[in-house]
Order: sequence, then structure tokens, then C-alpha cells
Amino acid sequence: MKIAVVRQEGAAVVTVSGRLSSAVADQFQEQLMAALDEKPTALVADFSELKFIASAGLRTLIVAAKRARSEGYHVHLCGMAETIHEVFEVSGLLRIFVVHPSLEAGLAAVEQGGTVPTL
Amino acid sequence: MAVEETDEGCDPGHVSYPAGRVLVADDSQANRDVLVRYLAREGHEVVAVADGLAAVEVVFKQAFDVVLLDMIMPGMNGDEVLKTIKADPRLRSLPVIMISALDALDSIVRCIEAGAEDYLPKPFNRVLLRARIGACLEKKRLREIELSYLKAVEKELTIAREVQRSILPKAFPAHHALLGHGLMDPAREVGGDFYDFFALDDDRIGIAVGDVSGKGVPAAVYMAMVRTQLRATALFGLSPAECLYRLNEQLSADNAEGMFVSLFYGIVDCPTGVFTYANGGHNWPILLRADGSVEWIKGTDDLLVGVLYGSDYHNAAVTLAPGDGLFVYTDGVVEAIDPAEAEFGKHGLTAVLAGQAEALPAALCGGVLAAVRAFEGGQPHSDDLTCVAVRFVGGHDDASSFEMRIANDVAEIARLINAVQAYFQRRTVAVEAAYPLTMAIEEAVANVIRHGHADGGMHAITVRLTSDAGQSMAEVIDDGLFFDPTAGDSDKSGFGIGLLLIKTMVDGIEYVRDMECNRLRMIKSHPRSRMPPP
Repeated sequence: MKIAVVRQEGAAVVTVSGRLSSAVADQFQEQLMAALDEKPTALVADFSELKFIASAGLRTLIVAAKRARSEGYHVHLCGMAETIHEVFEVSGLLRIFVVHPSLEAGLAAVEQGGTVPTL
Repeated sequence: MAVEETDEGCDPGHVSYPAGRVLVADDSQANRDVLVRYLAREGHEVVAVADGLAAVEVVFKQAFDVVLLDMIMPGMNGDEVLKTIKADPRLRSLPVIMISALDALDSIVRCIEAGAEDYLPKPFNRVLLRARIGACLEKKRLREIELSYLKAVEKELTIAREVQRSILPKAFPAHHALLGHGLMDPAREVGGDFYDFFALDDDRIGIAVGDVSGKGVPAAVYMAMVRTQLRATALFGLSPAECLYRLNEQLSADNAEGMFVSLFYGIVDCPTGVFTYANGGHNWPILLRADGSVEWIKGTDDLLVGVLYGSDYHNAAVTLAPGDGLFVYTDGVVEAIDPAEAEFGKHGLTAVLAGQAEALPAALCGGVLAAVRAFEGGQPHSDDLTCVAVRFVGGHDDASSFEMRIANDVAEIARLINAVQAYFQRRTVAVEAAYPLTMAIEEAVANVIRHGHADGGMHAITVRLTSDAGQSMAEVIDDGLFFDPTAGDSDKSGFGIGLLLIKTMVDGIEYVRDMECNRLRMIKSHPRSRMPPP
């Protein structure tokens, strides 16, 4: 697994590639929380190179979504492959994240603001 | 050999070290004497030998805490003794200190690489000697503490594993219309997966499978809480969606750790075969049709349980026909990976299950576990693996006939006999007829279990009952070895007394070999005085 965090405008853009297994979930949590400590205006996750996500990875994203809500912004998931999308669908989590087909679409939506689900 | 004794007589230091058993191997009498004297004064117990061969001999016979080896000795040098010690698994962790002249740095380096703990330059310095021996003993002591700590943790985890196993249900609730089996194989000592099944009343059986986020002890504790709260809620007879709703409220109300559980809970209504379920973010279970085809039991995409307070859950239902089965499982099945990191996947699972409509639940669960472990090719398991298989045999409760399938296992007999007795009672068959016929069924089934199959594998035995005003008939069907109990030579089978009992108990017996199956019919007339209603 590789994690890269960059700041784009006010948004934290997190790119995760490979397998987000429970073995590396702690590392993911650490980096994600560090990114949120910087008080971004949105959290945008680029999952276009993500091959697998374990439940520990979902847990980190849920924690991030709860924190985002309390701090007044949203978590955007971008470019998920069908298998990853299915995990979010089956677990009922699509309702607590904003999902975009690609990173570009996600960043455009963040820039425009717009409607987002509430947690 | 010159011996530096400048510090003789003064206190060599204030640091205190533990005492231990020390082996000294040096060919110089003078050196041995000095070392023995120094070490004994520190409270150590010392054994001194004059050459390498003697050192090897004594180190294998007695227990030591540290070994001092002179580099150059007659017969066997210190580095060779070192290699012998390090090559033995029992002695590998025994610390060895090499004694050497300071100018032999190359050989010291080689010995350190070969596993020596440290070295002691000649002439001896008492403070250095004391510190190096002390450090070795201290290190050994810490290693022992660590090992005993690890052992204690391991023991606790073993107990935790047993406790966790004990809260899983021992057996599937006895019901003539439904067979079931579950298994849980944690990736570590304890896991976050669980399954449960329980009778809600005479007709309805609840089945649950859950997977808690994370692994190990925190997941196991959360799992125990979820399982207990689910039972407490479910036994009120609430619908699956209502149970998940309430459970979610309890779990999400106070959840700082962000834990959650994917939970599938359903209720089989045995008389109708209607399976009502709710799915809180769990993998879609599989419906195994009697014709061997597989279908996904799609969820309502409701949220994982414990994430969001007040989240809604929905009921959905499928109707099971006799012969249909359910297979509910956790991530550990579909997310198992092979050495090339390919996933077992849903395809892998359906490939194992397709065409298995006839298999018994225990065989289905065992077959999936074996397929997943074979796929992993010996790699460590990435996740807990849990599965529950259920087969709907069909309800003949209020019909005039009865059919039940059991596994060829003596533990199944009690369940069968309970159902047979219930059937005769429902049909108000007089006890004078019902009792001997029940005994005859028990004898016949026990015989099939004991002698029917040569392969030691899992097989099904079917028992059918019909009853009318004049008589009751029982039919035992098995796919075992050809066996005709009505033939003359049947005594050779070891079934002699059992057969005699059956012949005494019933009024007629018939046997046919049909489509590779034995079919044994036993007929019992009802007593004339008390006729059952038509």
C-alpha cells in the first residue's frame, strides 16, 4: 500500500493505492488524522488505484467522516473500482460519503460546494 | 601470561549484577585461577576446564548462564567450541564471551559474527570482567522475564479462545424441517467473527452471522457484547430489521472507538419456509437452490451496525422450497488471498457451493473452509473465517406424512426420534403401535450409521412416515452399501439381534434396492380398539 497526502487549495487530497489491509490500517489512520489536524475544507480520497479495503480501513474512514461532520466539512471518495464500490454499497456506507467517478470530478465538486449527505 | 591486578583490593564498582553459573575454558592455569577467584568473589558459581573438548563435554551436561572461552586452546579452539554451542538449538541462546589478546581483533570480529556475545581482552581487567559477565546475566534474566511474560499472555489468549468458543452455539436447534451447522476459525487466538442460531419458538429459528471491525482482543470483546445484545433483543421475537435497529442504537450510542459490526440476521419460519432477514452491511449470503443453482441473497444495503445512531434497517424475505439451503459467511472466505495476492472471491465461493444441494450443512462448511485454506497455499490467514450453512428439509408438520433427513452420526438419532414421536402424537397413533415402530426405526437407522458406509464420510439418511386409520409405515432410505435385511444371510452383518428386534416390533418389513439406495419399509398395524381419526 502507498499513501500520499497533498494539499490542494484548502482540501486535503489523500491518494491510497494497492491493498489497504488491516496490517497497514493503523498507518492509514495516522496519516489521515494528521491530514485532518491541518483543518482542511474537505477531505478528498483518490481511490482509483485502490485494490482492496479491509474493515479496519472502513473504520478509519468512518472516524474521519464523523470528525469531518463535527468540524463542518465532508469526505469525498473518488474513482473507486467496481469491487471497492461494492464494499461501500454492501456495507451501507455510500450514504455517509460523497462519491465521485474521478478525482477531477471530486475536486470540481469541492470547489463548487453543493449538496452533500449528512451524517 | 601477565595478569593485571592493579585494582585488586579496591571496590570494583557500585552496580550490582545477578549471580549465575559460569563456565571458564582456558588452557592457562594462571588465567583460570584468576578468573575463578574473581568470579567466585562476585558470588558466581564457576566451573573451569583446560581445553575446548572438555568445554564442549561439560556444556552439554550441565546448565550454565554464561560461558567464557579462550580463543587459542589445545585440541579445540574457542571459536570451534563457539560454533558447536551456537549450532545446538538448546544452547543457542547461551551467552558466550571470548577471551583474547587485544591484537587478535580479526578473530574477535569473526566470533562476534558467529554469535559470541562479547569479548574480554587479556590481561584481565576486573571491572571489565565484572561488567561483561553482569551484562550477560542481566540480559539473560530479562530474556527469561520476557519469555515468561509471553507464556502468560499466550496462556491468557488460549483461555480467551476457549471462552469465545464456548459462547458460540454448540448445536443447531433440533427441528425436523431444518438442518444447520456453523464454524468459526479465527486468524489469531481470538477473533471478531461470530455466528449464532437459536429457536424463537416451535416453528421459528433465528440465524445470525457477524464480523466485527478489527481483530484480536478488542474485536473479541466487542463480538461478545454484540452477540449477547443480539440474543437479548432477538428472543423477544422482534423482526430482524427491528433487532438490528435496536442493536445499532445500543452500540452507536456510546462508541468512542469507532467499532462496528457487519451483521446478518434472519428467521426461518419452518412450516412455510419463509426466510425473513435484515442485513446490516454484511456480505450477501447465498441461496442454494435444490437444483444446485446459486443465488445471492441481496441486502437492502443497510448500514453497518454501530456506526450511526438512528440508522434504519429493512426486512426482506425469500421463500425456501424443500431442499433449498442458505450459506452465510464472513470476509475471511471471499477475501482470502493466494500467494500471488489473488482473491478467493465470490466466484471461488460459488464454485465450491454450486451443485452441492444434496450436501449436509456440516459438509458444506467444512468443504468451504478446506477450499479456502488450500487456496491460501499455507500463507497466514488474513482474517477470521466464519460460515453457517442451513438446509431446509421441508415441513410436513400438518400433513399426513413425515420426512426427515439426518446425517449418519449417532448424535443425530435423538433429534430424529423426537420428531418421530411428535409425528405419531400429532397423528394420535396409539402408543401400542407408535412405541414399537419408533424402536424399530431407531434400530434400523443406528444400523445404517454403524455399518452402512465404508468410506467414513458424511451421508444423509432419510426417514419417511405415513399413517392412516389402520396402520403406520416407516421408510428408511440410505445411499450406503447394498444390504438386504430380509435376505437369509443377513445375520453375517452383525445386525442379527437388531434385525430380530425389528421383526418382533413390526408387523411387516419390505426391502428394495432402488437407484443405489437401500429402502427399508416397516409396517405396524394399529390396535383395533382405539382407532385414530381419519
